[in-house]
Amino acid sequence: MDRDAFLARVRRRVDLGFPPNAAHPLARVDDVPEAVYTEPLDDLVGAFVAAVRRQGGEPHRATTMEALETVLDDVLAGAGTVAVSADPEVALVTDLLDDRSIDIVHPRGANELADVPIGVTGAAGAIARTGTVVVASSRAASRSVSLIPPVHLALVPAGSIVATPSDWWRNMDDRHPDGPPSQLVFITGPSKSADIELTLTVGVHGPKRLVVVVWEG
Amino acid sequence: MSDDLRTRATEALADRGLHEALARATDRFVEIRRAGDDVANLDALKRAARWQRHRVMERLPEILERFADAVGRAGGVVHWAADAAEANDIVGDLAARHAVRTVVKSKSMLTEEIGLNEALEAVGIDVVETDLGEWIVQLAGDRPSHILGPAIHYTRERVAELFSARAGEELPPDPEVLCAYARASLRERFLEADMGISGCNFGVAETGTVVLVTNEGNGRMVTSVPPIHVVVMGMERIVETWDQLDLMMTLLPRSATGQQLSVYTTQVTGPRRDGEIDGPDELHVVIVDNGRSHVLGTGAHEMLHCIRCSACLNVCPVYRQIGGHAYGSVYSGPMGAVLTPLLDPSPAATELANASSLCSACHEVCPVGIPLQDLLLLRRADNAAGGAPAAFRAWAKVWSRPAAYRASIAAVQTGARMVPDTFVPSAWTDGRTVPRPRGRGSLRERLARGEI
Repeated sequence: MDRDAFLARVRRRVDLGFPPNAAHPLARVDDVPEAVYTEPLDDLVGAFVAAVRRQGGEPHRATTMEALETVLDDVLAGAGTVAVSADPEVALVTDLLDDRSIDIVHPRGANELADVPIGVTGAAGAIARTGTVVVASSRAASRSVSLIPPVHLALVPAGSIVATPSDWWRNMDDRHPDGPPSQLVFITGPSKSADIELTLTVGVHGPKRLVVVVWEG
Repeated sequence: MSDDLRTRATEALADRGLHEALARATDRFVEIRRAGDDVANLDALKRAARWQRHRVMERLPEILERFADAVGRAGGVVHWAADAAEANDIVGDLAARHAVRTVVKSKSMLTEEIGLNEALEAVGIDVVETDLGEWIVQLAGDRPSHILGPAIHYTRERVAELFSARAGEELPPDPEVLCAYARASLRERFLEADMGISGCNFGVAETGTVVLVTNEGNGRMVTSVPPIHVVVMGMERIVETWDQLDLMMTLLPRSATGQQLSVYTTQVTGPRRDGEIDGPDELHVVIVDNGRSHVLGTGAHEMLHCIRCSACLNVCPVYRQIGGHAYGSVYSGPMGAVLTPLLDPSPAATELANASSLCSACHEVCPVGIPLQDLLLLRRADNAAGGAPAAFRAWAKVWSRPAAYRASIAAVQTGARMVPDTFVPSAWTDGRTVPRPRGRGSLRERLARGEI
């Protein structure tokens, strides 16, 4: 069916009107309200770190390069290869990775990541309430570095953390002045499934470990 | 649809294993949903959501146009499918044009509704479901029994058998091991797939964005790895603005799984852009009507507001007893009992309105306030439009006269003490006992005597 015919059919039906439900009448609500949370939130970084942990991620705070180095060594744990995205935050660890004579993969596609154990990305931002890391294809230049390897290390600038998902979604124009990127992903914890007897298992398709470093340097 | 509702329900009720699995799953879903209660103004949000869903439906043609234009500007291609056959043809043509041999899919109820897998398989395409639950069901040659947990009717032992048969080696009934096997097997399929097919939780018209929620990450894989991404989207699965999306996304994961957000909320606006190293070269969005437009203009139009959270399944006393398969439809539980006959008004579908106790627990949990029990009643009234059975007509006649009403109550008072439970051999009395009155006389008489 072509577009005009499809839409004309829908329009004819819409024009029939919407018979009211007498038992449960529809009530007009003038605004599009946001969630009001039961718990207050004053410390964005603290709340974010707590929420990442609650979601099964591994949060760290780093104010110095030494602290960052410690986390990095812990995550690398002798790995010989890491893949990196093009996010600007990745520059923070480029020298550290160079010093460790690790193969750094700048992938040109998902297939090159099949055997890479760790993906390192930055973040377009983060959400404190939910412990969410926001990755955008526009700045990462990649959809798969944060997806294919079994470990995802995300570097989150402390200043990029907002309080709630609403703060992101209701300010899309400010966050993405050129329009939304081709892919924007809110990552909230490691990959999970409960499809076998509702038993929680991690790492079904996405990463088994989500390591998040909040960079406060 | 095979057999009738009664046969399917009777089979389900006789299946003890199914009963245990259903009780465990639905209890667990209800329990985790309670745990997600961190929002103070949930009721206000639900009222607003009902109104906003209505606002979208009132302007659906304009909003769909706005969405389609925005998808086009972002480099995607929009297709319009009047029915299942057209939708399957569109996807089939795309597959043929790109010589597609393997398709990976993330979970989509709509593709089950239109029978897309069967249509693609009929032309020799290998279709792989990648949601763990859907994959289990696919390997077993079965159908999903719950929107969120397609394989909740399977034990770990049964999953181990299925996976062992595929692997050619013995796998233990350990969810960790089984999950790792699924990851490795499906990973290969993702990397070799020529096309990814997903559903759509919401389209956002103002930017032409397709929003998908998954916990496993298969939604991300399908939209990131294969060279072509096809979105199959019900025409009502749309909002106009990001404010509305925010409202819906506050409600959807909380109502579905008690999560504040699903693990992955994937927001796709067009295919891969210049300078990006991965992502599909082409994005196609197939907008499907398949009976939906005919729901507009009827008293049941609010069914199009449904956001497929499945909360109504878990609280439904009927679903909890008979499970998803007994509904004989892709959609089960209260939402399925309403939606299925709206999309396919065959006698087999319309009798689904009887699969309800009208307790309205579904209405209470619905995040967008769909009065499901009213819509079930509407369907029952339609079903009875040919005229009520003679016994009911006589009953109505008697009870519309006060003297006859009183006489009938007196007769029942006496009769109910005398008749055996098996006085009318029928399916209705099989599951019920005759109520035995306590004390002497009717309620009115006892009240008049001051006994109560």
